[in-house]
Amino acid sequence: MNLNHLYAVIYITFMDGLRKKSIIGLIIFAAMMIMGGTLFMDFFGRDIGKASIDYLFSIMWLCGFIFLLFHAVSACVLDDEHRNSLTALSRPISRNEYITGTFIGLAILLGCLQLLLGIASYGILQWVQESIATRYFPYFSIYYFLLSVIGVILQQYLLLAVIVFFTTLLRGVFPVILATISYQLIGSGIPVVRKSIQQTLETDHSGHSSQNFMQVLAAFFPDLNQLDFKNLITTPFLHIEHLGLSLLSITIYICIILGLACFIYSKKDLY
Amino acid sequence: MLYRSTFAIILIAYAGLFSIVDKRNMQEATSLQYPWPTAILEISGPLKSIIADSMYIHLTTYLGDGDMSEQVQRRNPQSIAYFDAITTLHPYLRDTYYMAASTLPWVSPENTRTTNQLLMRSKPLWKPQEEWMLPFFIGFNHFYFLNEPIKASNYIYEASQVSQGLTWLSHLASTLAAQGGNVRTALFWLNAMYKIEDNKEIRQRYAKEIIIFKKAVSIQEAVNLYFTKYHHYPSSLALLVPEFIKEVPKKIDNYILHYHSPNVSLNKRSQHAR
Repeated sequence: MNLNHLYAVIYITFMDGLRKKSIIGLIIFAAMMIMGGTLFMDFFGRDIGKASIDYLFSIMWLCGFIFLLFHAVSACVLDDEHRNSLTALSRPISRNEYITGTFIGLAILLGCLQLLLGIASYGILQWVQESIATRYFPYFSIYYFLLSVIGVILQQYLLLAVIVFFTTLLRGVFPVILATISYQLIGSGIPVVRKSIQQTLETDHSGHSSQNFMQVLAAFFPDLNQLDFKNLITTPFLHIEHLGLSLLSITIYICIILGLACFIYSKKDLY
Repeated sequence: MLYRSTFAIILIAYAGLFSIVDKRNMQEATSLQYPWPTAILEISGPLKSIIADSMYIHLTTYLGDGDMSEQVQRRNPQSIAYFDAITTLHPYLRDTYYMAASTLPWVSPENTRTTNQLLMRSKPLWKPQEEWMLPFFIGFNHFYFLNEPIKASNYIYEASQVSQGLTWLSHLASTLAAQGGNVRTALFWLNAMYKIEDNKEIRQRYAKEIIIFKKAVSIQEAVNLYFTKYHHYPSSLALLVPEFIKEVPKKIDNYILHYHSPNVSLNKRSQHAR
């Protein structure tokens, strides 16, 4: 893989994203929603800090999800439909470089968006903590805050890799959006089903085959809740199980999905 | 002209319909419906905390500022379903537990047991955040609503372990244990408290109570000896005299001795009077 070629694709994808007015609109929307969080905390008597964090991280996640569904999908699919990809590929750029470059370019853009929202959220949380009594917001760990932001970004990088994968597999914006939403829902649903099967197993000791089947499914649709660290910001004493392993397994999963996307795209008929 | 008048009629019709629909919607907003099943809500993944927060806001809006228990009674199953869903989706939100403890148990004993089950979900917060109020609520519910002093004493003792410096909690736990017929445990806790207490006056009070509790324990031991010898428990403490004890002390200072076969218990006189 030629790094100069890769850099060129990353640069084009990144600059193309920056030029889109919808991204600026999304940032303004997010800023307004984050400001609105100051009203949200009024509804809570004790856990003002926790409620504010829930709200701000939900806004971050939602903005990232909107970015993925409405910018990343169209950036990948429309490149194919408008034959932009052919222009790029007519240069000495391999298909693997094109897919990897597009992913990294979009990932940098998404990372910048989340970083911006993260800084704004940190400012709001600092202000909230200073403006209320200590007992309503006793703990605020900057390290866990950073870890939570990284968790959100990693969750969305995984979805981005899945979008890139579906783009190589399907044609059209709508099927890719539908497949991505289905992926997200299945991924969030599997832990709930597994928990339910586990409870059944404890009482009547049947359903081992379903449990094994769900375990296999969970390998294909990893539990994104393992990257949700926002509860630790206000309750830093909670135990995180296998943090390093979780981060590493999700990173490897992203690489596998990207590898598969590169493989399928290299075989895809673009005409 | 025709267009303008038609437009005006449509506008007036919309205003009329809007006011009717809005009035209905506002009435529905102050009532409480069953929430979606928790399993469905959990699929929302990273948004489940904010969904739980929103449900909490909806619940508090329904409960209002007046008699919250009365509001719960009107929609009891729905309220319980809400509390259950919120604590499942977001077990670290303390506000929900405080709200549940202050509203649900007053309705019925079933509600009290449900409240205690909900409060148990907050256990990971007790020790690290010194949240002694949450186990205290469980203990209070066992004592006040369910008349289960032994269980109450266990939770209040746990609350005393969670809190730092609230020695009265341990004392309350030992008193409840004695009242429930577990005088040996009560004596054990009281001895521990006596050892760690620095305040001279409180130590003197504990020392006095230790003597009383020791007397109760000696009577309990006599009951056990009676059982070993005759293979049944005595129907009254009077049967222990003179073989096992010299006399039955009916009142020991400000405590009254009770016997409900096979347990000897101590009740504070003021509580007994109540």
